[in-house]
Amino acid sequence: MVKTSSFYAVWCIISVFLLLLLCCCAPTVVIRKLRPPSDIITVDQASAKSSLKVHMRNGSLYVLRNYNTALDKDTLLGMGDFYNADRKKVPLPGVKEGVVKNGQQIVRIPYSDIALVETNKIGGVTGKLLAMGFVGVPSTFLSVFCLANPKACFGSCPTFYAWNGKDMKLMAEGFSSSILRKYEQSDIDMLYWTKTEGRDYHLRLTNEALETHIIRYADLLIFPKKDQERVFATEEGKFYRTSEIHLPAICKGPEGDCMSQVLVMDSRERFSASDPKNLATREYIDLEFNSGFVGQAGLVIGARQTLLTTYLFYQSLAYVGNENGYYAAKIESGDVRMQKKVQRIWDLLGGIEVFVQTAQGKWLKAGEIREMGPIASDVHLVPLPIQSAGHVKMRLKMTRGLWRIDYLGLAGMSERVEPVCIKPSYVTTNDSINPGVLTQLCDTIEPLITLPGDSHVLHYTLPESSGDYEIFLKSKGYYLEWMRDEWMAEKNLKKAYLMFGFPKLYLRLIAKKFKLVEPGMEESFWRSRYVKN
Amino acid sequence: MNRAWKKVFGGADMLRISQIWMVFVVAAALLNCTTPGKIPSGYLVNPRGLDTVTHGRWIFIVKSYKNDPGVPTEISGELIAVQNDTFYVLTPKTVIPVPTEVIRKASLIMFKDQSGKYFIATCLGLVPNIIAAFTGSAVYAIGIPFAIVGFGAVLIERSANTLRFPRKVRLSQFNEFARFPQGIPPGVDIRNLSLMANQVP
Repeated sequence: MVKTSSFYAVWCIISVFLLLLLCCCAPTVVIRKLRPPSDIITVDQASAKSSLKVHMRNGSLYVLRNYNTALDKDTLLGMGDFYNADRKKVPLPGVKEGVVKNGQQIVRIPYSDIALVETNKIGGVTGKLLAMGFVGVPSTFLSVFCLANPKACFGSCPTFYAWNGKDMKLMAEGFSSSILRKYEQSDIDMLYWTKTEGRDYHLRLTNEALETHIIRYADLLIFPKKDQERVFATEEGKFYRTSEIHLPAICKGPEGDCMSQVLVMDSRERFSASDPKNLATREYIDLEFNSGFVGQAGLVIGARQTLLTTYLFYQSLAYVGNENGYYAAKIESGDVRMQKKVQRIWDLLGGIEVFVQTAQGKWLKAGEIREMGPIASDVHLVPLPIQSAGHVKMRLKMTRGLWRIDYLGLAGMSERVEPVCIKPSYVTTNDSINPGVLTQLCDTIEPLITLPGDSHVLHYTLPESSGDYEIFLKSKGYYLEWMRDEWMAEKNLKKAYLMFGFPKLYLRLIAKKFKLVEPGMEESFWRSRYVKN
Repeated sequence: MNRAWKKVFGGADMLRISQIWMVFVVAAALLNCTTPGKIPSGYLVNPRGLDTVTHGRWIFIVKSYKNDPGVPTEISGELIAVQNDTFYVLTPKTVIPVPTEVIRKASLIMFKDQSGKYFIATCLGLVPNIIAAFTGSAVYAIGIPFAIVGFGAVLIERSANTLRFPRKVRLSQFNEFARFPQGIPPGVDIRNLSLMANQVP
């Protein structure tokens, strides 16, 4: 059941490809028809658009561009050229019917003098041109774009697909900020859309980029839930049950009303373009809720990052070029100064800061989310200071062009809850049980290592088959980005020093260059995954 | 641990993939370089030009070895007519009648080979991918579907312009592409016919 839709998707792609290939397989063909003069009337319309060759009994030849039969049906009328048996062009014989445009004569050819008439039709060209255009044009444009903007392509993190009731959908990316072992950390992602069917639950873990993923574990954190209840996680990893969620009455960014984009978690996201003068420029979104909650409430934010951080990360790798290993080793061996330098640029970009207006009209910072990663939206809860029920005014502060916000809601937090942790019960790779991967996902000494194209299905056993659960994924590990030759060509240690030594200045200087690739980055990123599962 | 170490550094395989892909492109190029025998350029028209072409099409005939020792076993020229089980072929020197019973192989070039155009179009479309393959970039992979479709079209098109006996068609089908498909007209002295002016190889 789970496989059915992806199975059909793969077959659809293969079928379209084969169809295009089939179009290419039709060679150019010439359909030449030779008929007696009495059959001239049956010359079809397609042929009628092209020339008609009239082979005469004496060996001469007319090539007629316009032709018709005379009223008495035994004579052909037409305009064109006349050739003798040796195929020398000679003046038109026959009776003049009158002079038409450009001095062309109409010739009258009696059927009795005609041996055969010839038509030619060409086939097999259009299909081939269409097939080549259909595949070739996008392929070439995408290749040129990727070559020109290598930092817009082939990026990702460990990706997790989960069942949404219809299909396996990309729902989480693991530890996006863990770019080296030193930055290894656990990551909690809410599987917002997931649905359970019976006790067996599974996730597909894939590596779709030119990266090496090192995964120590990928466990489920589950919470039984009733009716419309939902459980959300805070940035600190605490879980709260919520009873009711209020949608904003006003949601206004610098561009104006953006409410329609944040009402439902539907991938219609609110985002803005970066500042052309400074990539660290902040922007604000103002929110108003008509009624708050008595007691503890929190702002639910569904969001992911744009490709700005991916671009900067790849750019930093390009600047250090073939010395990447040296600097990575310095960080891994405990060079705290170096670690801080890397961290500074991410700190400058910052997260989504949440402010709430107090009764005195002052803005009070309630919290901040800093979840990294451009692939899957994650949902977070930011607890607000306790205040009386009524009108609530809030403000989100974030870097322009850095965040894609899919959902905003004010939730009443009923109680703090603890999850049940479930480890995978077995793992399948290419439909076969793979005990080795299961061991690696339960063993912190020798973790699971995946390379581009690797895919495993992690199977979990839920406590009760009839239960409705809120499910989170807790994963831990890190990943190593593969260096690309086109990055090596950009090696520039001076710029690397500028980037890490003076990040504020660097974010101003790089802004113009980033703006050149920003408009098409998102689309080309999704179209250029190394492996499409 | 050793296995895991090898996996981490498996990226070196990328270079080998690029080289295999380049071999594929070069093989396709070499395949496209094979050309038929010499044909006067006037007889190599584009498919759409067949509509207005006035001469017969160029034919290559290989006769059986048992034939007359004085007559060449390989003849090429314009097909003038097929009449009374005889092919009349106009060569640069004269018209040679060839009885069908002595024809071992025949190939008639209907129009100019179109595979070159598809080859050039495919190669131009793959330029970014070829550059990527040389530089070891993974962008080369984007071009693989287009390479399959494009080079597939080249291969299919390579012999589409030729009627071949005995492999593809019967000898009777060649008549359609003769200068006189109705047979040699009475009153025409075929010895006075000439090839397309100034285009003899």
